[in-house]
Amino acid sequence: MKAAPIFEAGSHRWWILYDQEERRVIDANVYVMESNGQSLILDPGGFEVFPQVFAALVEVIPPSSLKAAFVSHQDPDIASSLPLWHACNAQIQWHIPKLWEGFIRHYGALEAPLQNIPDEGGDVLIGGRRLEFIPAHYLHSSANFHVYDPEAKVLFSGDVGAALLPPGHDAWVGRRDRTGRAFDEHIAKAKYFHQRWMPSNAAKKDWINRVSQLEIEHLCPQHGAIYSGENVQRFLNWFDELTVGMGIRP
Amino acid sequence: MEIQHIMQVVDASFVARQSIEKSLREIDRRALNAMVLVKRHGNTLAGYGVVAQAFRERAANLKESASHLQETIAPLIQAHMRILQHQRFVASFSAIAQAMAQYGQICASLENIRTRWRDTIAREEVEARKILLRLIATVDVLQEGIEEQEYVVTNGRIEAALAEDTGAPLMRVSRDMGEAVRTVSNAIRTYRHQLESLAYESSTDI
Amino acid sequence: MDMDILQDYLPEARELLEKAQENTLRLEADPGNDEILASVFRAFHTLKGGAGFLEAEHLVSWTHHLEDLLDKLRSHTLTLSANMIDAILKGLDVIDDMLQQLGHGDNPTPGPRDLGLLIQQLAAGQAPRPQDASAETGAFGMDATRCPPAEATLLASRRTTVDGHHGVYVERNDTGSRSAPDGNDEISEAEFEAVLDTLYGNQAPGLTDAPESSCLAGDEISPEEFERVLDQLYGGQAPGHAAPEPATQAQPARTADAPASPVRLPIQNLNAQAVLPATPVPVANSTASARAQNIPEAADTTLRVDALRLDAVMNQVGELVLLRNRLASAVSSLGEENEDMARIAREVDLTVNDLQSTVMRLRMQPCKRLFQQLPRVVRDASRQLGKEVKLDIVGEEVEIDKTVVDALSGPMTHLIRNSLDHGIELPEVRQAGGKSREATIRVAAIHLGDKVRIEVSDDGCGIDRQFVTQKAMDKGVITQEQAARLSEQEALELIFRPGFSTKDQATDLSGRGVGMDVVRETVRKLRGRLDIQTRLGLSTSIAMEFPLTMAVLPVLYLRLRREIYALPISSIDSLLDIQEHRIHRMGGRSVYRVDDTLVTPMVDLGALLHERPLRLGSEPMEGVLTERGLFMVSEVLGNEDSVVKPIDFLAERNWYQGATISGKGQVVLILDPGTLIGRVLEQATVARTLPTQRGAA
Repeated sequence: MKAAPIFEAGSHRWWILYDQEERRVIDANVYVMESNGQSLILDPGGFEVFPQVFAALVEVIPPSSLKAAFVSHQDPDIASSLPLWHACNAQIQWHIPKLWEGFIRHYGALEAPLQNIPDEGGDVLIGGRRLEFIPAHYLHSSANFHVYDPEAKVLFSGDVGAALLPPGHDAWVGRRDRTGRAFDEHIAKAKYFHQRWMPSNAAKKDWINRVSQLEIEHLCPQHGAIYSGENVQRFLNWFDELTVGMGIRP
Repeated sequence: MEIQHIMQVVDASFVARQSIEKSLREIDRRALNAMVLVKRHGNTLAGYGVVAQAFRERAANLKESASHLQETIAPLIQAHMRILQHQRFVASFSAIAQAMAQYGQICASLENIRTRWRDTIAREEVEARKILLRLIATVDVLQEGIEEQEYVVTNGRIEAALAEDTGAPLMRVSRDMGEAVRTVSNAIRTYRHQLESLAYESSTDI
Repeated sequence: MDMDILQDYLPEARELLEKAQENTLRLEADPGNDEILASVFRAFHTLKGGAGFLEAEHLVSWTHHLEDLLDKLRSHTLTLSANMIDAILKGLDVIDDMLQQLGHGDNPTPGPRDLGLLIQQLAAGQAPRPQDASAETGAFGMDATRCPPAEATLLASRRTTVDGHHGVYVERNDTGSRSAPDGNDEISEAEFEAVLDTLYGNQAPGLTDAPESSCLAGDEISPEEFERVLDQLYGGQAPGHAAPEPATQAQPARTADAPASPVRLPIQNLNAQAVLPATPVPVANSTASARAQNIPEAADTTLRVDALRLDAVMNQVGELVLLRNRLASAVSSLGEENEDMARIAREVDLTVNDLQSTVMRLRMQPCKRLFQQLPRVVRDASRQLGKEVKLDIVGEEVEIDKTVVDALSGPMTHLIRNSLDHGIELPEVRQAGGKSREATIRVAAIHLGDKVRIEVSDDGCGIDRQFVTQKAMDKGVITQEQAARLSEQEALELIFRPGFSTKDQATDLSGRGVGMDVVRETVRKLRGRLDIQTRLGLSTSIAMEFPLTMAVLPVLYLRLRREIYALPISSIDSLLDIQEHRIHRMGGRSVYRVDDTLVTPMVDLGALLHERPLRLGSEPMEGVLTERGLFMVSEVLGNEDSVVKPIDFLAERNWYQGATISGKGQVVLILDPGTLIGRVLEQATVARTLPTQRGAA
């Protein structure tokens, strides 16, 4: 896996770890936020890819700086590495949706410190910087959160914005393309994912309303590539138009 | 091998890498500074120019060696994390075997699988050790490079003394170069000690 | 007109002219020096001879009368007067014009009639007409009155004697006994020969003692013979620099047989061949006798080469340097296993370096060439302005690139005139102010490492910053708000702004099309830097620093985000790691505290070139410290000896010095640090004067 900086301002940084080598499981991005020597790992990934995620992580931060982990929902590609991380660093505080606590414990490490996030959201302090847990329920999991960093203007959006990309993909959606053509090409690879994995049009509308209030420079999904600058609004517009929940034909 | 010890080495790798990168950048800057100084003085400092050029070339070599260091650290960490993963399997099979033993039952195939994982881990530990030794060898190359660099710095001091009457602040430049080299030298030495202790532990394990 | 002869004649003639001027000025202080008189005479004589072959009849007649005058001075038939010196100097100017006409391929037009007549009158031992004399009255403490016409003329003049006293001189000249000018400006070749005969009698070359010359046609003399005769006449004292020109004396056919390149044998010495690269060494000794001694052994070692050919060699070496850089870069990417290649590349590197410095030396010229016009400028201007000025010249022997010597002649003259006009006070004023009546202008060339510094300083009244600022406002160069914010040095530098030094101050002296802005622009184009220092009431000094050579430019490559630029190493002090706590805001500008003694403006190249400031902490940043500011860049990459290619498709006002091709084959723009810093300071000034707009934005 590769590491690339998303945001950098002095001691405040965001990184993406992307393009995993193991192709038998779904390709997933892992994000790291660092502030004043403390760091948070977001959706740390599955059990199988843990060694490569860990090796990529220590390129950008020392593992001892990890103070907390965020788990957007209960899926294995997100949280099944929990016991391994816990073995490496038992100090890590695990912020998880309250609804999924009992489920997540099934991954092992029963003694790991879990911090439940209530349905209405919350926040966490990392190295003196406050990050917000933004509710994104039913997108796609019934208890689901995103993370917003108001200073860096980064929104970690879990499965929203996800795309299924081939190996060797870029970390960004056509960052230097002003025309929107790169976005159009990319979004075709995101369409089915949203139509099928996202169950609720009402939840989608609710989320768009909520997120439209935020100033977002980088929208960072757990699969695929980052939407930066104008692509953020392009995505929100596209998602707004899209009908989801197509597993049930009306 | 103790996971916490590995974590310490991983942290040390991070710190050493950062410190080496920073010092190498510093060394490169010092070397360029010396080149600028030489160029600014026309031909009078030609002798020092040779030293500065050599210093810069060595700095580039050091950078090259340092990048190999990075290439070896990542596989080492990955290997150890793979071992950690597989130890989880062994642990869960052990837990099952233990639970069954409570009921006086022994499952041979379960024991088989557990042994197979243990063998896998042992093989992986040998592999990890190889990577570790390779890493130490890379660090040695880096250390040799630093020694050469120290030699160049000494030459620079001699040239600086010879060219003292030109009024160029060569002594200061030489001192700065020496300092930058010493910083990286210290960082590498500390790192090597940490790797050695890990190597020692892994050799007693096997 | 025979172009071959012309090509030989022109450079030689210019040299003779310069020498004649220098010597004429020396005569002013040392009027009885026979050696100098003879040398000036000979210069006119040689000029005339060559002009004859070119059939430049007006030049022939003009030089003829001057020659006539000098001949009489030389033979002490006449005594040198200040009037004569004026006339000779002006006569030299006319020759200069004529040579320029020749240079354009035109046959020179007749010289100014009045001056021509004056010279003839002087040569005839007559006093100049009163109105000519009165023009000079007072300026040089000299007056001349013409006596009633008679067979013999009395010339009375008030003059400064050698020991500094004033006295009235009355001379009697027997005009009747001399052949008066017949008004015919032309001389035929026969006449020319006749003049030679009168001069040299039976020693005339070609007639007597040169056996081999007898096979030549009767009216031809060989250069060797001529040389020998002159040597007999003047002995070993013959001033070498103005040595007679063999080629111009040669018959046309002979010259046509010569190689196409204008090659000349004698003059100058061979020191230049043996010096280390880039180390200026005196080429010409300053005293005539020393030079004369050098002539015999030096005679066959100097070639005169067409400057165009030299430029061609220079350009080709430039290409070679670029190729060398590419080779070095390509070989270094091959890795360590190619030991052979690496060694070859290193040797190529060294050889090209040697070649480059050898060729560079070909282009080096002593500053003497730049300075030799100045005594005349000072003399003329000081007399015209009624000021008393002593000119000190230091470092004539310091060598610098020919391009600089060529380009700087106008600006140097301007600086001197400017100093005389605005800097130096009238003698009475100086006296009243407790200074010596005589002011001093000092012109110096100093060799500093990879640079040559040329200074023009005077002990005049200095520059009043308030006056300058007021004037700049009056002329609309700056607004009142801007004026209020200027630092002292910035106020001073207003004099270099275009539009500052124009019209109303354009006395005859300073306002001749070259303004201080042109001086600055010239310096900039020569990749130099300009610095001005003044102490009100005491002194002004303008210093220009130029790279030793224009041929190669050592550059530092730097990266700004994804782009690569170059900075001339000559402008760089050191490279720094930028630390946030050293950055401060001062009066609307970002400044950097380098250490306890140095605070310098910051120049964010990201903001200037990308219109997007570099953000410390968010992206990599390094600092390049120059004399006038700290440049912030993404990364410093390395240095290279490069070759500048001019860029001509950019707007007048840009911040590039040119372009170069890096070892990796990329075209890289070379930044001009001076202009960039100027722009930053300008922007800061504007920003500070428009606080409301800025706040609203």
